[in-house]
Amino acid sequence: MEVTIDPMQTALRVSRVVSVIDNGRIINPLTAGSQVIGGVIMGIGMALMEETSIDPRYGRPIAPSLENYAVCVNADVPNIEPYFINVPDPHVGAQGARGVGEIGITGVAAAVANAIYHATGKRFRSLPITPDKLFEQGVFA
Amino acid sequence: MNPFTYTRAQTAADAVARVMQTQGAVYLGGGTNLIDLMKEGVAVTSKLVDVSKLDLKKIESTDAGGVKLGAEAKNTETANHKLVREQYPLLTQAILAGATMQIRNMATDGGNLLQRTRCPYFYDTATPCNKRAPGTGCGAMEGLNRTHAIFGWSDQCIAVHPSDMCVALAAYEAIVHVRGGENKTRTIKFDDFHRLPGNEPQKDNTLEPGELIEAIELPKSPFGREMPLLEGTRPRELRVRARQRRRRFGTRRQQHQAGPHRDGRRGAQAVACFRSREGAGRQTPRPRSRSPPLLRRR
Repeated sequence: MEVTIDPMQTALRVSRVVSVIDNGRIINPLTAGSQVIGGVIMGIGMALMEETSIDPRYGRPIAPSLENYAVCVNADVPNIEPYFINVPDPHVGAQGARGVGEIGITGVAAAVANAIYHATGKRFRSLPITPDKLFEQGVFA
Repeated sequence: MNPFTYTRAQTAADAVARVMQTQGAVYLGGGTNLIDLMKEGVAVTSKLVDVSKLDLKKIESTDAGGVKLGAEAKNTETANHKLVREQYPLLTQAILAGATMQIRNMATDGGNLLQRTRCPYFYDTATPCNKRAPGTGCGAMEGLNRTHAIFGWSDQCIAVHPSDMCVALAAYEAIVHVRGGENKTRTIKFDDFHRLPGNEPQKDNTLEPGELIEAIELPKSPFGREMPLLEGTRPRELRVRARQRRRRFGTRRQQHQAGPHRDGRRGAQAVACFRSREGAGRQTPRPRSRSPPLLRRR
């Protein structure tokens, strides 16, 4: 996981992701890889953007629509490289293959937070890591 | 459901007359904001006067050397127009930074100025909002207001105007041409067009009731071409500063390879950048609202 921070633009971006998955035997590397890429993209959204805020005074979700719910768009998605260990798992079945599912999202948000720590020396312990939190921790100032 | 009627105006004067004759009538341009607000029950209208067929779509250069944008020109068309791209690149970039392709294809330039705020309390009719229902209070003041105003707010409202395009128009000192009752036309300087909430947050702008935006004029500007927004097309001064920074601190890649930076070198740059902007605000920053306990713990 690699992030870049531009203090001039007060912007944070994920610039590169390598994801290695132990998923038993991989039958179709192309579609399995795509599945992991999709999971990573959701993980980046989880780390930096996606949030449903609930106003504790009313107990209501504030802005409960996609209008204000930011998800990753094409421009937010960096070069993502999925790799597989590709060792058959004898405990699942004769093929040794498992469903890939959304395993790709696992650990992505934590990896982004670690990359931010590596870049800035600041720890972030609540998601999403939005620019205001970066400001609060003095990343830009 | 709130019943309303729909009519289509043929000329600008006709549209103004139709809106003036009915209480609660409003103009309908691209409808990208108004229709949403009507669905949510935020905008309650009795009559829609469709102005999308009026002859207000032209983007043309003026005798004074500027460019005039028709109020009914679409955002996409404006951003991609040769005159705008060449003379007012900031406007192109600002428009393309906002919304999505589908919305920009529908949204009109005049409508962009008249967007309502995206404050979630304004949209949720179950919460108080002085802008939506004057006198009910402000839900955002003590609530979730991460994206709300830092400057220019009042005790009654801390919502901000959502438009990117308007920021560029303000920078270019645009002039808004409007037509009102009795066919009178007037111009409004862009700085005077939108108003701060004050004690009347329900009023976003200084248009009189029934007035129709006909055009937005961009005056000839010696800085027009040198006002870009994005990196890579920075004006000369910024490029020089970036070069100085590279000389002092190394390239971004070198900085990155040097490992985690804890000595605040890059931080120092940012401080310098903000210092230069000190004094730009006319008001002290809004104190952070007391976060509700649930939020503070996070």
